[in-house]
Amino acid sequence: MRAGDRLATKTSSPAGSNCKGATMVQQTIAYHGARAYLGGPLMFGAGLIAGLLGIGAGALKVLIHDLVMGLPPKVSTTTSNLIIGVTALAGTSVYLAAGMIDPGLAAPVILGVVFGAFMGTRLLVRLTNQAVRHIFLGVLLVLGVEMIIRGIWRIGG
Amino acid sequence: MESLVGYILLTGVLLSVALLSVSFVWRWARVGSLRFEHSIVGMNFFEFISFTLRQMASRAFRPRLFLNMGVGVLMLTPFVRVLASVVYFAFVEHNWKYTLFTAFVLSVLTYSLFLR
Repeated sequence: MRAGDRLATKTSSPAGSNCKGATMVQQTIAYHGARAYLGGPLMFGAGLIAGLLGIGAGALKVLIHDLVMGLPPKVSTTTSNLIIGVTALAGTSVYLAAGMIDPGLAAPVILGVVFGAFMGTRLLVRLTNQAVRHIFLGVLLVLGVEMIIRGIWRIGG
Repeated sequence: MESLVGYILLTGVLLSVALLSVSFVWRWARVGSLRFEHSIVGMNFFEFISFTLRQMASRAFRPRLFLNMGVGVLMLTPFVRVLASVVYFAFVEHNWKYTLFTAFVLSVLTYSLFLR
């Protein structure tokens, strides 16, 4: 049991249909998806950045889920995973039409990523919410530093 | 709903991985190299898929086509998932609010796939 997790003996709540249950290894956590009216417009921004930078915007979506909509880390991760294909496809189609996708380069990347994703999702169900959050923070830090360094280097070059 | 979406995603990804693996093994057996040097130019997504399918239908089986098909199937997977969601929300759940949202996503996605 970690701080921030709300243990519930049942998955229903006063919010009725807005409440969903997320099953963990041994427990069920009740949560509310809150402030969807803010989440939507913010996701528009995340989608814009995804299209611009080719980063998939999973990191941004998880941040919005976490900070604005109050979803637990695992729910956030899985929701982001589910939607990311759709977000990426909308952007990728433009690159494909522009002849910017090299199938010979894309294929090995696909094989590697799919294998990694299968391993990652198997791992996700074994980790605690807190561990998922820590890993996510680490990844975000590395991503941020890498992008800042690349940005400065580009400006300098 | 969850199992339907899960089934679609898993099928799409596994089919794509299988096609890509076949293309690499075949390419390796044929020329001893894993490099593919072709590109996709001047086609939107649906043209790319139909072009590849037409070539396959004319029995011009080549590792390159399997590779293209693998990439195509992977890109088609989220599209089919959204399409299935619209059908499910409309005809099974009769949830018109969700049908409307999902249909909007589907229309944006379809439009983007027709861009060139």
